[in-house]
Amino acid sequence: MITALHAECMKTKRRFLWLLPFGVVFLEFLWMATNSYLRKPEVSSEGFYTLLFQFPLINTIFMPLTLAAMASRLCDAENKGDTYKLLCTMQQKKYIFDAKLLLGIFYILLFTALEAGVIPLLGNLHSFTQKLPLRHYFTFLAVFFLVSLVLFLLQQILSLLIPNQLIPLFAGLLGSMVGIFSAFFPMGKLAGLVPWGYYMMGMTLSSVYEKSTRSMHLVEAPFAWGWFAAFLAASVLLYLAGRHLFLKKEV
Amino acid sequence: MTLAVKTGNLSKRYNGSDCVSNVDLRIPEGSIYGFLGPNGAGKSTTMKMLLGLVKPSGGEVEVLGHTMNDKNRLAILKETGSLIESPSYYAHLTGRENLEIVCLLKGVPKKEINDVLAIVRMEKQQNKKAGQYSLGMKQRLGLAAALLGRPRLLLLDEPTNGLDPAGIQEMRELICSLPGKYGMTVMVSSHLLTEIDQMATHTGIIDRGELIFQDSLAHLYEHSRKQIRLRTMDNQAAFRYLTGQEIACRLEKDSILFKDMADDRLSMLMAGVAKSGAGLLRIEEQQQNLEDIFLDLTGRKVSL
Repeated sequence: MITALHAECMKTKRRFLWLLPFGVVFLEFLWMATNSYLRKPEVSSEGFYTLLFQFPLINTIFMPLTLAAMASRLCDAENKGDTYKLLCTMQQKKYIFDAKLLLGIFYILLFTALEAGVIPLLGNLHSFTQKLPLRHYFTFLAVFFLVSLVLFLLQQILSLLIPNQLIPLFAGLLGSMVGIFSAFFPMGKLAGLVPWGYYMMGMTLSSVYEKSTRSMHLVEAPFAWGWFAAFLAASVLLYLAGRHLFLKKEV
Repeated sequence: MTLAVKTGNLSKRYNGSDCVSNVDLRIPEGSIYGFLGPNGAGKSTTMKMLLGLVKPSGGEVEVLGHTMNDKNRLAILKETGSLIESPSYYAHLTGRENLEIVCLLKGVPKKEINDVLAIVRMEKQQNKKAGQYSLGMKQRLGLAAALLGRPRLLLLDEPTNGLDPAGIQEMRELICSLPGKYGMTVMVSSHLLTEIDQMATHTGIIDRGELIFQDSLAHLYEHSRKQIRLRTMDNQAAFRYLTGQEIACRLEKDSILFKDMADDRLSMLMAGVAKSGAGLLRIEEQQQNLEDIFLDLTGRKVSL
């Protein structure tokens, strides 16, 4: 497996995959850094809540397509170069699938680390008076990592099974749109059926509209354990099914 | 005779129709085995089954003395190299980087790269991206990858496809040199009769999934039916006489062609032609070329 992973790393040379996490997180940073709402003095006391409430939405916009592009970059070289018939004479096919997934996990970890860094940085930039709420912060990071991993797995399966990479990329784009629209679905009901919406499903903060002051403010919300348990169980099934289909596909 | 490859009733069915049917390959060690057949005859599928890339519907495969199964497949394939259909390569990596990946996966030291690059004469282009190579260069890169680890068996599926005449000649010379120089057994498939004729020591002919001939090329020629070409002063008269004797013959521009027969029968027949007043000029024994033999074996003309 280590050899397979090493080979995958060698294949990513000149693919500039690292640009995706740095580029996307930088874009998110710019979005948040220039957000005038976050500079308002009344927001400062719940600044981190606001960030941790807004980041899942932005991730829903950016991540499905980014992960589709990443999975495609990792898999399309095999389709373009017709390499399976060579690789499968030297290594077990299941290792190709798993090594690509492991490499994807590495990049998702990099993404997570960058997101972990950018939140305190934004807090500092906007001079929030609120202390970094660690429980919400780590929940956000864990949800980000898990949801990204599952979406990457989905995209990897599509990219490995479909030679035309436009289709998986389109699926990623569609995922972004469906994910955003899922925010308008009844949370905890229909939204739970949309995998791209889980960045928002995993939020531990909720907005409340106060009629008297005609303002919105954020309150703590319980984590959707049930939905996430089902989501992870479905992900295990997705892994097994995707791997089975890839192994079954003749070279 | 030690066999490098032996198959027993190897078959593959797709959607209920036989793509490869009960093929019994016998490839002697150290030979160049030309696997000949028209497009769609089942050559690539058979070769893929030898490599375990396609699961046979029936039969068994023995490679280098070991019956192949899921457990020992990769261990056996460590001693084989292959180039199936089009060459496999990573377009964004250089030729050398492509070979480094193969070295890593095959567990071969990187220093072998220089050797195989020299064999395929690609030393100067090794640092160019594979995506920028011509088809001929890609084929050579594919061959270099197949040669890494000095395999005992090399499977090459239509290796000259898409090459220009000079490239074909170069590839042919290279393949011919492999058994002598490195003791390899080479199985090379082609739909071109002339190519097999010039490269192979042994041949197997497959048509519609069935192996219709298998032996040495010399044996194929030896047992191919010869023809007699007859030239007379009056070919029409000779033709009338021969058909009168119930001989199946063909009147050509300046000669008559019919199948070879026993000497005494031919002698009597020629005496009859002479008596008929046709004026016997020349009797030639004519060897069938490979294309004629193929036609005889398959009983049909195919686009070759």
